This record gives sequence, C-alpha cells and structure tokens, in this order.
Amino acid sequence: MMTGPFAPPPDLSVHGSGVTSLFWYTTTATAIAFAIVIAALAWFLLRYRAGKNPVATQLQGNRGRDLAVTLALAVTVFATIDAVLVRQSRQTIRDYLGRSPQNALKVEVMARQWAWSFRYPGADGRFNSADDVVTMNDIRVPVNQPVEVRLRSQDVIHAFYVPQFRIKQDVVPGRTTRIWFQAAETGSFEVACSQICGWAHYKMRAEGRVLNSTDFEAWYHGAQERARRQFDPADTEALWGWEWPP
Amino acid sequence: MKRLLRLFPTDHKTVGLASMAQGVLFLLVGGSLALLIRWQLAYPGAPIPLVGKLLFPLGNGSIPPHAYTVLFTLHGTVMIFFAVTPLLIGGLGVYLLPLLLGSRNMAYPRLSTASLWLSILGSLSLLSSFFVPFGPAASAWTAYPPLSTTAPGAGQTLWSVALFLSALSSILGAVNTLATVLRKRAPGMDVFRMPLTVWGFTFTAILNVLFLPVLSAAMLLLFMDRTFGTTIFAAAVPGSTAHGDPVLYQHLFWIFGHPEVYLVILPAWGVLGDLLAVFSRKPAFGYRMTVLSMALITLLSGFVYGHHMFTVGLGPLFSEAFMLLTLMISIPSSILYLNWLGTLWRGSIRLDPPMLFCLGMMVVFALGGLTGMHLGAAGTNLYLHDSYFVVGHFHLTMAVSVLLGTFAGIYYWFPKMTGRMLGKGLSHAHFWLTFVPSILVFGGMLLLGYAGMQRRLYNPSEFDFLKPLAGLNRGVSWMAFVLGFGQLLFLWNVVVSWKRGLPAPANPWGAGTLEWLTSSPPTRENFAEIPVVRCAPHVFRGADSSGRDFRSQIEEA
Repeated sequence: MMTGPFAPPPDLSVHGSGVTSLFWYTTTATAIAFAIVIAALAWFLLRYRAGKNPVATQLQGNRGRDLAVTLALAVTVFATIDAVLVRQSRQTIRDYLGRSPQNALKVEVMARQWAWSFRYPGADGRFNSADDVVTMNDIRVPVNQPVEVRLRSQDVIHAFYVPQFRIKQDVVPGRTTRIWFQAAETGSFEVACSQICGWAHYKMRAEGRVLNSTDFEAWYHGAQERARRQFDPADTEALWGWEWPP
Repeated sequence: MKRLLRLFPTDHKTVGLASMAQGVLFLLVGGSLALLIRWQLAYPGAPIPLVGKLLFPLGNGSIPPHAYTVLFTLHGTVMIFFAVTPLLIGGLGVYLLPLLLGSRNMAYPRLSTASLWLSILGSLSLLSSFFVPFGPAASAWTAYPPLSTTAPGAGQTLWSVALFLSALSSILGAVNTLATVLRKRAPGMDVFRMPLTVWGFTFTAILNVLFLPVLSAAMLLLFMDRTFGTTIFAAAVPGSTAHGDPVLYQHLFWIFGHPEVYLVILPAWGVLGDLLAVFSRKPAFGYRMTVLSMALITLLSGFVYGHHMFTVGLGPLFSEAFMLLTLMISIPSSILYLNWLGTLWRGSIRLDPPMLFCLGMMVVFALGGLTGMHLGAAGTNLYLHDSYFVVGHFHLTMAVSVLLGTFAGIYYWFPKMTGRMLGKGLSHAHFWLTFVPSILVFGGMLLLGYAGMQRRLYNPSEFDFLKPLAGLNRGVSWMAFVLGFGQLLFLWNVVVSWKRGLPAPANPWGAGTLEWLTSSPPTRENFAEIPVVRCAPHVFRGADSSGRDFRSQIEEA
C-alpha cells in the first residue's frame, strides 16, 4: 500500500481492501504494459532515426505472421489484464451491492441540497416510529457489524461517497438505492457528495464515526430515549422515513 | 448581394478555415475557463491577480461558488462542442477530405456552409446566456436533471439550444462527409487506397449520424421540460404529478456521450496513422488491420455507455455487462497501437514538428487508454467514479491526445493551407510546452483521484481527507498555467508564419497523397485535372537520382 500525502484516506472497512488491491493489480499490470510500449517506442526512435537508418525497410505488415503476432499480443493483454479485472470486479460489486447479512443495522439516508439526514429505526426495528433516531450530517455506526443504507433524495441527484469505505452510490429522486458496508476498525470518516448538486455541492458533508459496540449501544440507546420524549405524531414532516419492502 | 453571399462560403477550404478559426477562438475561451478553475483549486477563495475584479466584481476579485459551477460547465461544453468539434471535424476534416480524395469540393457544398453556420449560431446561443438573469448554465456539461430542469433563468435553456444546434451541425456535416467519401473519390481511389485520415473522418461521420440524433432528442426533451412544463425527466415522487424519470436522461446522454469520445479521437488516430508512415518513410503497418480495428472500435463504442452509470444503482448485472463490453475495446485498441509501433519499426524516422506531436500523442494516448481500465472495471470504479481520476483519464484521451493529433495535422498541412512553413523553433517550443505539462497536469489529476478527490468541488479543503492534497492541487495548477502559456506560442507562430513564414516547397514532407499534387494554397478547383489514382497512399522506394524516395498516388507502385 502506498502511503504519504497522495494516498487514499485510511481504509476502515472490511471490503475496501478488495477495491484497493484491484486498483494496484490494474496499476501494476498497466504500468508494465506502458513500460514495454514506451521502451519499444524509445528503442525505435534511437535505432531507426533517419541519421542512423537512412533507408527504411518496406514492410507492409499484411502478412499472416504479422497479423497473428499482433492479434496474439492484443488477446494476451485482454486475457492477463481485463479477464482478471472482470473476475475481481464481479466479486467486489457483489460484496457491496448484493444482499446484506441478516444482522445488518438498517439506516435510511435522505439527501437534499445540501445536507445528509440519517434515520435509525430504533429498538422496534421499524422506521417512522417514536423511537427513530434522526441525525443531520452525523452518522455513527458500530464496528464489525454490517450496515445497510437505503438512500433517497428530496430534490436533485446526489451521490453517497465514503472514501474510508471505498464506496459510492448515487441517490436519485424517485428511486430508492442501497449499498452496504462493514467497518473493521473504529475511527472517524466523512460522507461526501460526489455528484454535482448545485453551487454548495462542496459543502455537502457529514461526519461519520465508527464506534465500538459498547459506545455505539450507549449512544443509540440514549438517542432513542430522547427521540421518544420529543416525538410528536402530528409533525408529519419529520416522518420522512419509509417502510422497507420485505 | 455578392458581399452577403461571401458570408455563406461553399468552397470546402473557406468553410474549413472558418471553422478552424471558430475552433481556435473557443479553444482560447475554454482554455481560459480551465485556468480560472485551476486558480480556484490552487488558491481557494483568493482574488485573481490583474483580471479578478473585472471578471468577478461580485466576488470582489475572487471566484464565488456559483460562478465556479458556471466555469466548469462552460469549460466542458465549449471545449467539446465549440472548440474540438469545429477545429478537427468541421475544420481540418472539411478542408482535407476533398483534397485527399481527389475531388473539387465536398459532395454538398451548401450543406458545408449550413453546418458551419449552425455551429456558429449554437456558440452564439451559449455566449448570449452570459447576459440573461441568473447567468449561463451551471449544472456541468452533463446537465443531469433535475438539477438542469429546475435551474432558474434562461441560461440552461440557451445551453440546450446551443447543443441542439451543434448536434444538427454535426449531423449535416456527417451526411456531407459520408456522401463525399462514397461519391467523390477520384477514379482509382478504392476505399483501401484512402489515407487513414479519411478513414478516421469517415468513422467519425458514422458515429455522428448514429448518435448525435440521440443528443438532439435529449436536448429537445430537456428544452420541453424547462419551457413547456413537461415532466419527461421529472421523477414521480409523492406530492408531484410528474411521471418521468431523471435516469432516462442519463441513458440518452451517455448513448451519445460515450461515442463522442471516439468520435473526436478517430480522426486524430487517422492523422497519426498517416503521419507515422510519412515520417518513417514506410507504409502504414497493417493498413487493413488498422482500418478494421478502427471499425471495430466504432462499433463497440455504441455498446459501452453504461460504464458512465455504474453508480446509478441499476444492479450488478448492468455493471457486469457493460464492464465486459467496455474492456473488450482493449483488443482493437491494442492492435491499433501495435500497428503504430510496427510503422516505426525499421523505418527511417524523421523528427519534424508534425512527427513530434504524433509521438507525443502515442505516449499520452497510452497513458490515457491504460488508465481507462481502472474505470472500466466496475470494482475500482466504485471508488474512482466521479473523482479526479476520471478527469485525468478523459483529458489524457479525448483532450490531450486529440489535440496533439490535431496539432500534428495542423503542423503537417499548414504549408498546404498557406503556402508557408511554420517557424521551426516555435514549433518545437510549443511541442515541449504542451507535451510535458499535459502529462504533469493530468497525471497529477490521476493522483488526486486516487487520493479520493471528487470532481466539481469549489473548495476541496472543506473535507478533512482532502486537506493533504492542497500542495498537489497547486502544483497541477501551475503546470496548467505553463500549458496555457505554451498555446500562445502556437497562436503567435500561426499568425506570424501565415504572413511571413518561409515559402513552403511543393511537397515539404515528401508524401504521396493527392493533396500535394496541387498548389499551396490550392486553387478554388483544387485540381486542374481530376487525378487518377494508381497506388496506395504510402508507397516508398529507394531514392531515385533526384533523391525522391516515394511514389505519388497517381503513379504505379
């Protein structure tokens, strides 16, 4: 892993290493291809420049052998690089976009210009009930537990981007999108919008924290208590959550 | 009346030059917008020296956030539709096609002028949006609804009109190109005797007639949503009467948008293929295989657009299918590239300015093409989508590679267009001040993207994880300023050489293609007599007594 000022932020997730290792496989493989190509280019320029090689050899490159070699090289590139990318990518996108495990913590996300709202279902496991915990620009998740977020937008398209988990998911008005992740370490992270959503796009940011399960439970429990005390069933605007289809 | 008619030229050379002038003008506009973007990213919120107060009186000399969104929206729009397209396709293409094919003009001379004027009207529509309340469009060059459908003021509407007109211009131009290639080839000019440049423009025309109508449709629907209150792209959300879908727009936009990338690079590939042959004194290696690869890429380019929508949430199957199709493009691309190397192999390579730009394009295109793999792979795309990695990648391919190819063409055919040579010293300086800073600017952007920086951010330092990137951003910006300065050398060279350059020899590069048979600049009729073609475009033999080592296409091989 490359570190230093140009490295990605620390990876807090279980699946993120899949993305990073695929990135480095691709980078290594393409760097080798690039080096070979540039070496050939440089060699030809030195060896065959007019001063050194005043008369060109008239090759058409149309013989069967030329075609076979070119085709074989092209297919080799495809087989060694692309085939691996396809296989690894399938694993990664299935990890993130596939069904989340049964024990996943469910969180609803409502995006709008220019803030993130989060809704936790509380002890009853149901959204839009009295014990829902609702936060703005503040998301807390427990370590080592899968978290599934489902996302909606109130206005324009946004994208839920968590660099520390190596994930990104668009939030599209009229649709519910979803993605899941699992934190492997405690620490802080940032939720950024990665789809231009108006002039304050750059300010659309939520603070995230991965807490150990004791700290998370303590916070979650206390927040549900406060939510129940403040719950006002007449305030329908606050009930922006939705039931998840089974 | 006569004077009025001069505004509607029908000679392909006049149309081509006018279109190139339009392209260069908008290259300056688009480039200046880019430098303003880079200023903001280098010194977020700091006043711009000298011109700041004039350009941004409301920001007291610094760029306000809304103005920043306008800057990147117009930079993309201007560069793609009103700089590269008129410069390369409407300009160089229309100028060259009849000359390379041995024809007196395009097939439909009045269509040439219509295409030119539609593009100019489009650019005027875009420029006029500076003078309407709320200013020009500000939802990026992709203009995704609902951001674009709900934007206040007339700016976004004028933007959609501008793109509609530009699309119409491209469609008419493409019809003209295809008709010219099909009907106006000189006797003996079999399709497999056409220079690769002609093939490039032909494939571009095919993509234009297939996919620009999709853009026009998208623009028309966007216009209707904004003007007549239709809800084609408005989501069916509770509390609204809309029945549309914002994702529909994305499909339409990218069905056009991805082929657009190939549409601008195909002519550059064509020019590269021809020039490598001329400056290596060898035929283009695997000519037919090259043509076939370009055809395959043209075909595949229509089936890969989904990789622009990997994060929309259309399901793993959608991503897997488009990932596989996208990565398949690497096969014909590799063949194309190997054939370029094959052309250099055992050649007798001359490093004149057009060749320098060709070699630079080969390096940059390798970088740009290979970084496409990171993005085509849906796994890494999850992290890199909409990041600066994307910005670095597509600038290396469709901006820098295409412009290096275009410059190669301009340096190569400037003597044909003007009868004069471009100054050699300035040409070399322009090359190095384009090639090196480009790699540093867009290579730096790849690093920024790998470190996680999103696109279209007014101020990255709002995010903790982007704070360490301030120095890299500043470095990229300074390289961009150098790159911008380098382009002034080109302009200066063109202006001075046009008037006072050394007179060009009749065939300065020793090429066999037909355009060098006529005077420079060519007469109105191009050829006193229509040439009869007897051999392939690049036939070389040992030098004869006069030192001539090539066959003209009108000679027997």
